[in-house]
Amino acid sequence: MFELFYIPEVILSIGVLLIIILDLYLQKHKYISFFLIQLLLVIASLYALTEVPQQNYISYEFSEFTSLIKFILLLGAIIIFQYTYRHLNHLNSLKIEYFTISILGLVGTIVMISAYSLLMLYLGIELLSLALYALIGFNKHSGLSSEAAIKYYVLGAMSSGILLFGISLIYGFTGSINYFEIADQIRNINSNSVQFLGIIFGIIFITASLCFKFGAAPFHIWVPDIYQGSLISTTILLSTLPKIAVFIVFLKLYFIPFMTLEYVWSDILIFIGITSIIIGSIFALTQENIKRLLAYSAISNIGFIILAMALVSNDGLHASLYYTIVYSFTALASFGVITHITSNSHGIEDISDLAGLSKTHPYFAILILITMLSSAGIPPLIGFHAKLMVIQALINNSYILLSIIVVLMTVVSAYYYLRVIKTVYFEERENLISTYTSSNILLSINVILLLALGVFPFVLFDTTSYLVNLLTVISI
Amino acid sequence: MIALTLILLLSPLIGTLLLLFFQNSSKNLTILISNISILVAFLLSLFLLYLFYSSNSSSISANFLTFADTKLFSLHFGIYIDSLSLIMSSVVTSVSLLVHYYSISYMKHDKSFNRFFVYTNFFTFSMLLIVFANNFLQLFIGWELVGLSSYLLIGFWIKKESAIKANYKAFLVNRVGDIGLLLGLCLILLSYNTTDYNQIFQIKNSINLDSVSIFGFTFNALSAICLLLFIGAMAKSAQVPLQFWLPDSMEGPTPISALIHAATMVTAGIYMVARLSPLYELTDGVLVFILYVGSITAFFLGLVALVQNDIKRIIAYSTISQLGYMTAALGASLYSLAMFHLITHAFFKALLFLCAGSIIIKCHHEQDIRKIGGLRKYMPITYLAFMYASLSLIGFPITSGFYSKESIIDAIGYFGHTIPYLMLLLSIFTTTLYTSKIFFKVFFGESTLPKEEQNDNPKNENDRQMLLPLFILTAPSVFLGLFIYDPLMIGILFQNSLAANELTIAFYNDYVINSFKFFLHSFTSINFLILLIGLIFSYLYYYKKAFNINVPQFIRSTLTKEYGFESLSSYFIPKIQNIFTKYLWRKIDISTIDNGLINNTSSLFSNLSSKMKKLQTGFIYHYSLIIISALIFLLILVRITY
Amino acid sequence: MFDYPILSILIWLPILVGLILVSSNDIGKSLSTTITLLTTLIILFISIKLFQSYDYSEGNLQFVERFVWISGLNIFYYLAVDGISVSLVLLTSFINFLIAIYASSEDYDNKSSYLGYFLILEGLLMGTFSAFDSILFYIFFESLLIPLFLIIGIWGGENRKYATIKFFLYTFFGSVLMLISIIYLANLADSFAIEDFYYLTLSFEEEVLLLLAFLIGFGIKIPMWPVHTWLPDAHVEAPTSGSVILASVLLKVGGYGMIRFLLPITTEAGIYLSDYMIYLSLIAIIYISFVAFAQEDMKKLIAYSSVAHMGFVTMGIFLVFNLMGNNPTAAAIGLEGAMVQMISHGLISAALFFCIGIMYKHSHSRLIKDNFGVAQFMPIFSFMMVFFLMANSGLPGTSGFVGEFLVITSSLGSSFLFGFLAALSLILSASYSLKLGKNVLFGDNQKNSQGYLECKSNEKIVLGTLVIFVLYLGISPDLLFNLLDKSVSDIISSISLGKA
Repeated sequence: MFELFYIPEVILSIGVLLIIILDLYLQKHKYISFFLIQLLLVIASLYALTEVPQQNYISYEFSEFTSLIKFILLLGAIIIFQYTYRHLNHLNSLKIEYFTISILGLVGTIVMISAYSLLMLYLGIELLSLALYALIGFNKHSGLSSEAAIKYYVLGAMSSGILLFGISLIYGFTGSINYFEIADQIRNINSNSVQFLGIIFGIIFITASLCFKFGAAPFHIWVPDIYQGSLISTTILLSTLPKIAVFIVFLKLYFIPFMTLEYVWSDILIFIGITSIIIGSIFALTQENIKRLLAYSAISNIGFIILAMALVSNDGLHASLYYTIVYSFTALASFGVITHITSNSHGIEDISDLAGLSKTHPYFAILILITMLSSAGIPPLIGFHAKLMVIQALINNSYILLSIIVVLMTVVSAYYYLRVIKTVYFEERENLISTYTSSNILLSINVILLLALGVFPFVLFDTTSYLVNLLTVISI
Repeated sequence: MIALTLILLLSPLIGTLLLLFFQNSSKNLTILISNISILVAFLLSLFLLYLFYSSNSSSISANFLTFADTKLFSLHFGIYIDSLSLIMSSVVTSVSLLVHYYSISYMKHDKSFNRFFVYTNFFTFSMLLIVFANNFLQLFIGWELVGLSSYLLIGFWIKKESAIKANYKAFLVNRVGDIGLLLGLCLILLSYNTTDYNQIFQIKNSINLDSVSIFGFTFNALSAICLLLFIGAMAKSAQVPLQFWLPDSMEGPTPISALIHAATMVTAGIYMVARLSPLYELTDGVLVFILYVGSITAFFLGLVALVQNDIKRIIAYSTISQLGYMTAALGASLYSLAMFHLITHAFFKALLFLCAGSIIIKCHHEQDIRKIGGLRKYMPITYLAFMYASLSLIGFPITSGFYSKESIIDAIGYFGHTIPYLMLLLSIFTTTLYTSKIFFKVFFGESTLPKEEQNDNPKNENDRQMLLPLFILTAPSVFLGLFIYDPLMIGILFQNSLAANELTIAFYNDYVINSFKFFLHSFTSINFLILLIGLIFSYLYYYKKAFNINVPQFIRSTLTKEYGFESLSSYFIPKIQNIFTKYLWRKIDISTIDNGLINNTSSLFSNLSSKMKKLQTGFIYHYSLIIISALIFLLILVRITY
Repeated sequence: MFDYPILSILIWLPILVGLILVSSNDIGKSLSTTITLLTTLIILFISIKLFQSYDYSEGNLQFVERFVWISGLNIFYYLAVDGISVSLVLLTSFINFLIAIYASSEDYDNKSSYLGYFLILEGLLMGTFSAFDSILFYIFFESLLIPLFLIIGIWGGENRKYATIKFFLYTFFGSVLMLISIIYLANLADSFAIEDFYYLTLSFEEEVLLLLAFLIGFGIKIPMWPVHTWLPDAHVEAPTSGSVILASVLLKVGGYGMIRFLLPITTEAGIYLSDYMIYLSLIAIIYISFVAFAQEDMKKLIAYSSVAHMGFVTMGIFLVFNLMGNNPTAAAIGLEGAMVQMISHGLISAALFFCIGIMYKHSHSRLIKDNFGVAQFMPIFSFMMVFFLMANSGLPGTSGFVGEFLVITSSLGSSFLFGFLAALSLILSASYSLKLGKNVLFGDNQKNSQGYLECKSNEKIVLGTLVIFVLYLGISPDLLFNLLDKSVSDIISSISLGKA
């Protein structure tokens, strides 16, 4: 039990506290504390890899799977922080608190993914939300930001309420909060009893609130405003780490405790997935603000993930996992590029701000080109393979009609990605666009990978299939 | 022999290429290359003719270039040597040679002198391609290439609007015929798996297809093929109703009218049918159709010539009606007679055109015969040449025209095709009329042109280069008929390369006896009577102006309008085309498909999107309402299902 | 038979060079030009080598390269060629070489990336024509859009934004349906290799649906009648070389796809629906020719004429369904006709777009009414343009004739009416082609306000070579037939196999 001390969660929490204290003395030299933060993350991620999987867990999971996911999350965090640091620095509103808070949120996500009881799950989610409330409202100068914070706070509180209600329903009718035990309870329950209905309602409540966190339609309603209101760096955070975490939670919840009721929830999830795709694609068509645009694109991507997962089949699982990783990767890249570009010394807001970028900064133009095409799912970029896998999973499970709707929506959504490219490449503009770095290695790697993995998809493919195998081991 | 023929065939082509190569070099070089290449061809064809008859060998067919040789079909370029092709080639090359020589001085002031000879050489080549073709594909290719060169030559003066219009029209009308020809070709390939003459002549009835139904009418494959091919011939040889391109084609330089639109290209159709006579003999009904088309053309288009005043247009219409004679002869399966008239006509009509050319040059491109006049004293030689040509055209006894034309008429009468016979008979009268109309108006009477335009040069006659061809051409247009008449009629000339010789022979033995008897007999025939009446009438009417008839206006107008073909071709079709196509484009393509289907779909989505955006009010209570209602919706959903 | 992966080189060499050119933004114009010339030349040589060492006598796939690409989905990196592919590969490399020559005297801003995109396009086209794993094919097929989209969008005309988006979405829409049907088939055959699809036994309904999906997918690319409207816009806005590559090679991708997928896989449905598809082709041939006649913009006119000519291709392909049963010879003739038509149209349309581009450089207007009397000032140019116009109107002796001739022949095997209607294009194509010549080249033009000037030497080379090849294919296309013969008959047989 001693080595439990060295798990990333603990390291992070303690490290953050230390850094907060240190930071008081390092006001002049923020970069040092930032360096320390990154160092902390690196150490944590290393520990995440070296974690020793436990056999039987009561309320908290240590397995190869979770440690890998933790690693991925931490890696993502490192990249995001790199982007964020430069961005905040440029807008000279750099505060170390920003990172410390984010790290707390990160801990929250880690707790979520390793939670093995509903209570733990709830704690993780709350921890994450707490951090997010602060981050969204971080930009004190803009009214939008604080408005967004309020919205998110109120709606988030509501969804937590819903979640809690769902949990209590489950607990009430199964008498347990541990995933295994819940699974056992559900397994031997007859389908026309009161418990059954109660449990199903519980599941639905939980689903609703998770979908809220996930930003899946029709619970997506908050997403555009929040994305738009908050700093772009916050938006990156919002659109990547929590999504992964929530996705993992979905997997664990549905495939461990609620597995036996899949005939109930899979239909619901399919419904939610397809609506998210449609709404995400259609709403985005007429958006002018790039953050809102990406928000809607996020919604439709989430739709894909949920749809694939709802198929309750191996290839479906694989597709959804693959898609999640590809999605967060693409999101990192696309937001990352935006963080590097400013128009008249404030961050990019509208698509039209990007006009004529190809003339002034061909390098960034190419980056945007690749990210957008990848999100549109045009081969040979990685986005294509992700969509391909989802569609294939759909067809393998003989959802032909669904797959047709999905691809048609892909065509619709291609339009707004093309709009961005069009603005970047085909339109002239006199007022200057500035970028505060000529290039950025990390960003370039990030984007180039979209292409490289597109040409050599098997690299990522094998990793994800490994993960999926781990997962199936758990769920049985 | 094959090698020689190949050289004969290719020498004009080589000439063309050389001319293209030495584009910017001196005029003399151009003259040299062009004339030499044709001369070679001419001499060779005479020599080959001699060889062929002396060695009295049978027909030879040989391939020299593979077009495509696959499991499915094998197509080649080849040459087919027999009396028919050799005679035809000698006619073509001789006329072509003279015209080339004539053009040297006719075109001497033109900037694009070289281009002219490029075209004419190329034309000669493509014509020979047809003549020596040993398969239908090559025939079709040559066919289209002569069309191309005529297109280029009609539009030779690229700045002249009317010329540009004329060649566009000519090409399109020919294309109409080519559809028939192409379909025929395709049917042949489909039903015989080959297009080689000999093989098809042997197989005769098709192997793959037995019958073809064309718009409901069912023909046996062979008749269908022959019919389609003849439609091609109709366009090329300007038969009703595809004749109206020929008069406009007179926009081109006059030597071209002589070469292409009188002597050679327009007779390609006749040549083809004669060449395929073995097939046509097997068809049912097609020949009758041909006969009637021919005689109708001969009569009605002759009439049109009467009301024309442009010298070249008159001759053009006369060409059409003469072609009508030939076609009629084909229709009566008197192939050798048709070929005979083709040959004589080639010479005297070329002569006519060349005379016209020298007149036109003289009068500084004035072509209206009402303005020209009294040229006899200025240009005696042209005058004589023109006279002989005219005599031959109207078929005055002993001239070539007499032998060819009269025997066609009489033979058709003899075989009892009554209606065609009458039409042909009557058109002797019209022929006489319009011919002597030109003759009298141009050479007698007085000119309305300013004086100095006629006697600007002391000699008052064009230079030798233009006169020599006139001399030379006079000989065959007067005497050729007499010489080749007997051998031709008894079938020595064309031997067995034409089918149904027995008819002509029968006609010859029973009616003609021999050329001299025919000559004597003609004076007692009704043909001659009509001829005389015509001559006297026109003498009085055109020369003495003894009386004047006023033709009812509507007849005159219908004739000048060429029975409405004129307005149809130059007014209605273009109009309709413009309006119709614009309509299709604007209404269907743009409005319906593009805006209707495509752009509306996209705007539909964007409208949908901007409508749905209203849901995004930004008010917390709305949002929470939406979330709660969604939750409730899900709950109800599940409650119903379970 | 080959110790080095010739196909992979054909695909990746241009793509890599292109990427380098694109990413190294504006290395000097001359340098980028030379690089492009060299690359295209090398590619041309390699493809000629391919052509020489290709063995006619056996039609089955040659130069096969096959490795596992994505093991989990058993997608293979599977390249090979048969006669049909080889002919198209040759066309691609040839046209790209000509484009490189033509562009050498042109002047664009950021030329290096302009040329780079063309090289990438070339590589992708090579891939499309030689991929025999359906997903690989789809990837190449779809990626084609990206460089073309940028070429038209960046270097295009005034209205380019609309045109590019339209073109992209149009084609993307078509291809996603195709993607679904590919996955569906792969799911049944559990393999993505195209030839494994041939042996599937499908229910009639399945076949009909698949047929429609493929028809939309490839029909938009070719384009067939009701879905052709993206082409004129794209052409008008595209820069000259863009129009050339679009007309001469990209349209062929559609025809190629039809031959590969539509013919062998959905035979039953095809036989059932062939008449309707032939009607569509006939509409394209006749109706579109009328529309072409009405055009006032030279490029639009040629664009529409392309659609009409592609009508012959589709007709030749669909006739196979119609004739396979009773007259396989005619069917084969039709298919060969379609192939020859593709190649020849590739040459002729390219030439015509070059011609228009050259005129545009002087007069700065694509409208017919603004160009007239060119022949007086550009005699050699006009000579060649008349030649190409004639070829465009299917004059025998030029390659334009051969394809139409064969297609009409086979259509007569099906019904006289088809043949007759198809043959109408003899008049129609002549009427619009010569109308263009009549109004633009001829006529009187004293003051030459457009400033016409005889074309540059490199342009002469480009047009001259095209003249030679058009003539060669017109007079003795035997070589091409040898190339196609076996493969075509194989496809026919595989169709009848699919029937069984």
